[in-house]
Amino acid sequence: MATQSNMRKSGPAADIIPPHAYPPPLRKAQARAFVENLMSDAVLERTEKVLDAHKDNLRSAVLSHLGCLEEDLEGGDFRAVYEQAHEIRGLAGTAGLKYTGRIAFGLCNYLEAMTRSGGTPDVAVIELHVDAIARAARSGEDFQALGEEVTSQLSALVRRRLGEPAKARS
Amino acid sequence: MSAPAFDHLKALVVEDNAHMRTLLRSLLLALGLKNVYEAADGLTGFEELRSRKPDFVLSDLSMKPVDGIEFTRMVRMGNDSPNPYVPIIMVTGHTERQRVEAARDAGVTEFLAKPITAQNLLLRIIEIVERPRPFVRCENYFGPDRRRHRDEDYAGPWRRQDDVKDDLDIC
Repeated sequence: MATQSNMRKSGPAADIIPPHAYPPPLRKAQARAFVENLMSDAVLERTEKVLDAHKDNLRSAVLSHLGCLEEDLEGGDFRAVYEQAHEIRGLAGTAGLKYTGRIAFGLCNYLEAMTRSGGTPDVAVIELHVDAIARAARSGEDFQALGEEVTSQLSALVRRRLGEPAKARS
Repeated sequence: MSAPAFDHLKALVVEDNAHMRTLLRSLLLALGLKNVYEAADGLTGFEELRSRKPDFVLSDLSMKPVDGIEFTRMVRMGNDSPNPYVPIIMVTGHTERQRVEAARDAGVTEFLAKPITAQNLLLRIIEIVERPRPFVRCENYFGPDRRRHRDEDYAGPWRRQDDVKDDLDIC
C-alpha cells in the first residue's frame, strides 16, 4: 500500500470531491431499486425490441443520406460528402448495416486525414467508397464474406494513398 | 401500486440527428423513465439543462454549432452551469483517440460507442447511478475522476496531495 512517505507530487494539487459530497442522480435505496429494475430480463427484452422497431426507420435515414452523399459527390462538394458520410457512419451500425458503417467510417477517416494534411482528396478513392456504401446499404448487406473483403480492400487503398507523398497524390 | 422510487428520474438527450434522438428517447422510456427531454445541439442542451434540471445527460459528440465536448465544458466549467456534477454519457462513433481524449478531458462521465446496443446503454446508466465517481478540481480540470483502473502494484509518481487516502476510497 502507498504511504505518505513515498508520495511524490509531480503535478498541480487537486481537490477530490467524493460522491457523497454532491447530489447523486438517485439516493442509494432508489439507485438500488432502479438498477434492479434495469437488470431484469424484461427491461433488456423491451429495449431490444425498441432497437429492432427503429431499425427500418434508421435504414431509411441511411438511404436518404446516401442519396445526398451521391449528389454531393456529383457536385464535387467534399465537405458535404464528409458530412453525409459522417451521418451514415453514425446511423448505419445501429441500423444493422455493419459494412455500410465501416466503409463510411473509412471514407471519413480518409477525408479527415486529407483535411489535416492540406492535400487534395483523390476523387477515385471517394467514388469507390461511395459506390461500396451504396451497394452495401441498398442490398441490406446480404453478403458477409464479400463485405469483409470490400472493407479490407478499401482500408488498404486508403492506407496506401495516405502513405504516398502529397505530390504523387495531386 | 405505488410508483417506483426512480419514477422522477429525468434524462436529457442532446443529439442533432433526429432519428438517433428519437431512438435514444424511446430506449430511455423503455427503461422506465417518465421524463426524457430533447435538444438538437449543445447550446439548446445547456438551456434545457437549466430549465429541466435532468439527473443525467446522453449527448452526441459531433453537433453544430456547439458540439458535445464544448457542451460538456459549459456544464462542468461554466459560471452559469446549473449542475456541474450531472453525469454525462457521450454517445459517439468516433474511435479517434484524440477526440475521445478531448471529451474525457472536458469532463465526460461515460462513453457509449455506436452502434448502440440495449445492453451497453443499460450498463452505462447502471454505472452512473450505482457508482457515482469522485469529482476532481484542479487548475485546468473539473470533472469526474479520469482514473478508471487502479493498479495495485503502481508505485507512483503520486500526482495528488490526497492520493494516499484516496487510494482506499475510490470506487
